[in-house]
Amino acid sequence: MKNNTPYWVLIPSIILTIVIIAPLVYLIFKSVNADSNIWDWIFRWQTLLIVIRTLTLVATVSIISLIIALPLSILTTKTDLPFKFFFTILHALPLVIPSYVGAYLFMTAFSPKGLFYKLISNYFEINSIPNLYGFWGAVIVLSLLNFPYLFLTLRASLIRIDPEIEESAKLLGFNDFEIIYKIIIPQLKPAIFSGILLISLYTLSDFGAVSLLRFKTFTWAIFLEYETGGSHSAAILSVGLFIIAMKLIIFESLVNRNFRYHNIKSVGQKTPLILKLKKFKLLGLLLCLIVFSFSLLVPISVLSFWLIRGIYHGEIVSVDYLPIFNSVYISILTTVTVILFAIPLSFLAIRHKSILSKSLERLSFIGFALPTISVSLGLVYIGARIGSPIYQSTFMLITGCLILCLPVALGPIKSRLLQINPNLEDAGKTLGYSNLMSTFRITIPILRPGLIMSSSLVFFVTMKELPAVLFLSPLNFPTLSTRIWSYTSEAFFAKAAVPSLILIFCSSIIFAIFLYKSKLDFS
Amino acid sequence: MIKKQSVLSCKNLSKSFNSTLAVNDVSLDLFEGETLGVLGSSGCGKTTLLRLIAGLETPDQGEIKISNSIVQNPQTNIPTHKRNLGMVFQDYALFPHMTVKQNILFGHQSSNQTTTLKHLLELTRLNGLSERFPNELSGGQQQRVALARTLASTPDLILMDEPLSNLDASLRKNVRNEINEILVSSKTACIFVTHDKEEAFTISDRVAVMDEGKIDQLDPPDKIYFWPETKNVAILGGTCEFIPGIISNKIVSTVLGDLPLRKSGEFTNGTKVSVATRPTDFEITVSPTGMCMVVDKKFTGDENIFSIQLPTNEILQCKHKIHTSLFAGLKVNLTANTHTKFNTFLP
Repeated sequence: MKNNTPYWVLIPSIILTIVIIAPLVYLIFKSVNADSNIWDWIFRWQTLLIVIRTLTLVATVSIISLIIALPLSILTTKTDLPFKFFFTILHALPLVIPSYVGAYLFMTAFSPKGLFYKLISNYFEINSIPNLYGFWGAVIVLSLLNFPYLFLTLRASLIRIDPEIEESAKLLGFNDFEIIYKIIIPQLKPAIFSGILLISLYTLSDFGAVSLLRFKTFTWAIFLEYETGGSHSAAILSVGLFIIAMKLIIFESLVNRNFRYHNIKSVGQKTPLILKLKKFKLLGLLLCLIVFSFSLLVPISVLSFWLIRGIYHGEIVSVDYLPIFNSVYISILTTVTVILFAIPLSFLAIRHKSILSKSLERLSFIGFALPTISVSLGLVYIGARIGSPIYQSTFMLITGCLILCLPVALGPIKSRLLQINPNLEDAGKTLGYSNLMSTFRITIPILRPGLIMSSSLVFFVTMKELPAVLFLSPLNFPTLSTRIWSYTSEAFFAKAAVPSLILIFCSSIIFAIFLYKSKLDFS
Repeated sequence: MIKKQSVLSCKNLSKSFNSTLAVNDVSLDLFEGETLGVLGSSGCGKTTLLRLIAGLETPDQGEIKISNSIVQNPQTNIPTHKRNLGMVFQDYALFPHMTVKQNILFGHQSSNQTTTLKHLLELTRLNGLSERFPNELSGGQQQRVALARTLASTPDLILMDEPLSNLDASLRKNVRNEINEILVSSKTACIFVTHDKEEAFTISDRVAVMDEGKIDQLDPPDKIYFWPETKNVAILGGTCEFIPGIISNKIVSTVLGDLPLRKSGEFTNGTKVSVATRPTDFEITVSPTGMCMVVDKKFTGDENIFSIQLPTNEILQCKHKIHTSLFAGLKVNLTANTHTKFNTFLP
């Protein structure tokens, strides 16, 4: 269509694309201009080791998450497991624990002389338990906290499977377990790949857990280089990290291209097929309980322990309100900014399709592959180049959070916008309202549920964001996340308990709103 | 006769999408109080024509005047909201987040809202539903809300894009008659796009038959039916089958005998033509020496339609009385009804 794209859509989208692309362009520019001795420094064993470590971590976390999430998602959707609803919520809840809080809680619980050791050394003669720092620590923490992404993706796909397919399999003489193998799991392939992509990207860009557990992957290496002033080498590593992320995304889209069109049919009121677990019911329950214990019960107990101990020993005297205020302040500012940009970008992508809009979308898609640490680093260097008033300003921090939250925000707004009949705005125009007025009086109000969902997600992501805040925040600007991270790295474990609790509490509220809203959606 | 005021005048409108010509050099005029039906099969460009008039699409060339002022030509492009026209969409496009009342008054800018609302609710028989949301209404009610909303903005011209196609058959007839009454009593000019000839014929003062972006014929309904100018208009205007014939003076000779011509002198004697026949054109008489044969019978309730095989193996649909003992395999003769005249086209 030749329709002109309105300025309120076009201008923010162009600005946004420039903002998203700028850090990457700057990093590439800086890498290309690096001295030859820096390149020599890059091409050595240690760098290869970082690549191997990172990829091994990503692969292991993905596989373990799949092993946890696949049976749980099938159990909670397709079987007669008791307390299904209850377990669904419990298995989604680890999402509210940020990775650095998880790392903090696990390392204090399972370190060689940690809480768990103290607990069992009363009964058994042992000197210490195996060291959980490094690779396995990171694997355990990231798998237990990230598996819900895969769990929720698989569940969404499982619910959409047409029960008639399963019923025909039953009529063809397959038993319940054959139905799971031969009918259900093959249909889950696209969901498995996109869920694993999600987990891989989170693992790849995770900074909090790997830095606290001392496992030197890309993100921590970049941070260390940055701290010690190696800006060129940090830039080169960031570009490397970006390339890996991009490859993962391309791989996923290539694999899933063949499946994508199968699951389109939506299932209305049909009752899903329920497989009878019979004697395996107890096994299913046990599996759910074990996962629940390690992903939620242990972290929460350890947190309570530090809290009680801190109060008891006088380490926690009063609540420090500054980081709470800063975190909320940043999150609110980011949410407003992201929503203001996400609306025009969604309109561009859905309502004003053109060659320009497609290329802008492609470009911003590259930006979405950028791991947080690369974005932050690129912005820091740009900020430093420009100097005041940009460098180390709230503006810079909000820009960083904007880039990283935008993909999260676009999902709900876009899918809501897709459901809104474009004729509604045309009707508004024929009733005497200008283009802009029709959009604001008609489309935006109907978009509201999508906006609420996006806002709560953005608020949630910003509250727990760590690396962007470490790199981009103004001087003496403590937030809940940076407080937890620095207390933990300096082994003030009791002091980290209060901010962790507040963060988990806030995240849980947002999470509850999200769950509630995603069910009650007027259409 | 008083000359009526022109409401809409389109001249040489054209619009193409990626090299397909959706609207091809269309010109038409509409006068106050008149209802114009645009009849065509799907994809013939009728919806695009409406959207061009509404200003929701920009034509590649041509001129549009509404109430004698230019709203569209190569120099001017008045935006939709300043054209003072209303549109009823195929899917009604009711605002889901507003009540019936809010929907109806959305485009009503003047102060006497309560009077307008009361009048429109009465006119469209929606009394008592004003606080409901669109998803709480039946299809027919939604349709009437869409119409009321359009009327509330007192447009000079109403455009309707297949407004009945989303209703089930039993409802369609009633709503069609209601729309007709509402349009007559509100005296608003209207363009009514449809693919259903019955709808077009009953609602419209004049019908424009569209095919591949062009208007083939623009005439009152009976003229479209009885005097089709092209083969396509004959087909769109009603059930139609063609048999070959040869022109000689005022008649055309066919396998069914000599048939009288509607327009004599159109073709020279000896021209080979296709003769358009309608199911009501022939009388079936049973005869053991009949040249034709009944091959099938379709009973639809209100009528009996027989498929009759001609000696040349063509099959014609013919209406016959309800109480009949005709059956497949019977030999019959077909004779043209008195008064029936036939249209011919080049094959």
